Amino acid sequence: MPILSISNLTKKFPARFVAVDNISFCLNEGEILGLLGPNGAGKTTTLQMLLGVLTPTSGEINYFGKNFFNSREEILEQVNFSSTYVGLPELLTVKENLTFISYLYKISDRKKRLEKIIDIFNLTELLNVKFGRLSAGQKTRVGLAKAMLNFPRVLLLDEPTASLDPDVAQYIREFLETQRQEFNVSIIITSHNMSEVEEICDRVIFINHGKLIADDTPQNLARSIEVAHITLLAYNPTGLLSYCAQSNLPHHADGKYITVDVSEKSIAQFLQSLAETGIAYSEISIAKPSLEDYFLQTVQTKP
Amino acid sequence: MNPTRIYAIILRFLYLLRKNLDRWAEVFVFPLVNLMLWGMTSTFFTSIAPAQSHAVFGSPVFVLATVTGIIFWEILYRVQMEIPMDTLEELWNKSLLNFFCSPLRFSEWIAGFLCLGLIKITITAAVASSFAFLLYQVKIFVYGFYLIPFLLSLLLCGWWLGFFVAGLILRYGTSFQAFAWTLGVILAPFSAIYYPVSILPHWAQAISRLLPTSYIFEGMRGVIQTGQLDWTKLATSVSISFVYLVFATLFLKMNFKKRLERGLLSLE
Repeated sequence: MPILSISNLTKKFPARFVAVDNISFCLNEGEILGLLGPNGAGKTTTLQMLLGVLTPTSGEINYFGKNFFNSREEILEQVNFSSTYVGLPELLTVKENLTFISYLYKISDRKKRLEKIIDIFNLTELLNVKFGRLSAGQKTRVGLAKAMLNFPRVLLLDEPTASLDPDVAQYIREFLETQRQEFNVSIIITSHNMSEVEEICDRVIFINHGKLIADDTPQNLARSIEVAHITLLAYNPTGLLSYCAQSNLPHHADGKYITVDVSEKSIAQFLQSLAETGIAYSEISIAKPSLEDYFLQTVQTKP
Repeated sequence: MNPTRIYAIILRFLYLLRKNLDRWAEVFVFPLVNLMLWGMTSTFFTSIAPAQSHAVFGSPVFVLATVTGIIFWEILYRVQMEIPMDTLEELWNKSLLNFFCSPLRFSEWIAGFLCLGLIKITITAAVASSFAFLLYQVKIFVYGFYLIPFLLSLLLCGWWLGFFVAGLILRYGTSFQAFAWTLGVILAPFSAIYYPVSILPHWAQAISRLLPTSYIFEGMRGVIQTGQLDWTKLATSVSISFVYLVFATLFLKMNFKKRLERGLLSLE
């Protein structure tokens, strides 16, 4: 049984704007699910409904086999979230914030849990600093620490690594992976960092204009894009550019390098044509389609 | 209702109270300024018309009534501000979601505010009455238990006023924040804080009769002047306050529900 299942979830706002349009999906135990889509697609609206701070127009949300609206309190004891859009009281120190939130979740071994979280997120030096004085990256770290306070079985993360330095972002990704492996935590994550989603997500839900467009693994979604990017350092760039223009091949130049978008099936044929036309090159690299390609193509082609 | 979660709400604001200068100014500076301003004024009037002011418990009755009025008013004003200010504090910090994405119930959130009101009334009453004693040797608690029922009625007033404004803020956001510190002031002229309702114009008297505060302040003056508790005034103030509190709670709840239809995240 999935740990979270969403059926026919719809949210219409008063001006008849449909933010989320009849979407259904599930989250399995120990799974990391990416929720992707362009700005305004309905990701945050969906997360708000999953957290009970936005009433759906219709549809059903079930956590642990129980209806969310009937068992809200019991469910939210086992769920937590972190979002770049949500802060903590700015005049309170990190320690005070974590302490009062630990009471909200009725954490039994409070002191021990706080010590562990402080250690995991390396917050010792920040404990007596007011939340409002932290850098954006430090705030994100504290937000994640707060999200882990109650040993959640389901964790909802809205842009968890935004504003973090690459090394800290990597640490957070590894931390999430550990939580999943050790405690079977199920995670829904929204991110604009496609390589991050490819790295940590088992499955991706793609939403656009409130509709669910795709539900698959990142690899399969990327594979559904047939275009590969071939980057060449040509001896005669002008010749290559005119060949691309004549052949109607999408391309762009970046300094001396020219990147041509070619169907994966036509790579051999393209290279053979270049040889026949006498366009020589000293370097070549072929990039397989990525989740980012899928994202871009879907956003551009599906209204 | 879970007491641990209610304690979380209280703890959050006690942490804030400890380090927020604005909140300490509310507790110390404003009561002191008002007490000096109006206490001195009443002392002056007493000195130019001593025959009109007999002494009660060693203080001229005019000074005693004015100073007690100020203390009661400060208590009401601070309690009614507490709920909307605490709500605004979360909006300014974009932190309201932390509460409602947790297992906290709406009723527990409200209960937390009620407890904070009790804490505020205790602190304000202690501070303001201490200032009154230091400045004018006025001992308002010589009336003992007679004033306590009126204090409790004031607490009810503070709660319903606070809930009403918090309801507006939850529905419309910070664009209604000015109500947090102006609604009490708007009601002040009709509340008979320093003068009897009878001297108000007729139209203002009609408004005044709808406000429990007018019965509280008139009742408080009655205790000072006669030493007798006017049970009718007390019962009327408590009844009206209770009815308003029920409506204000429903209003707050309804506006919270309306807000959930638009999303708590969009509230700013």
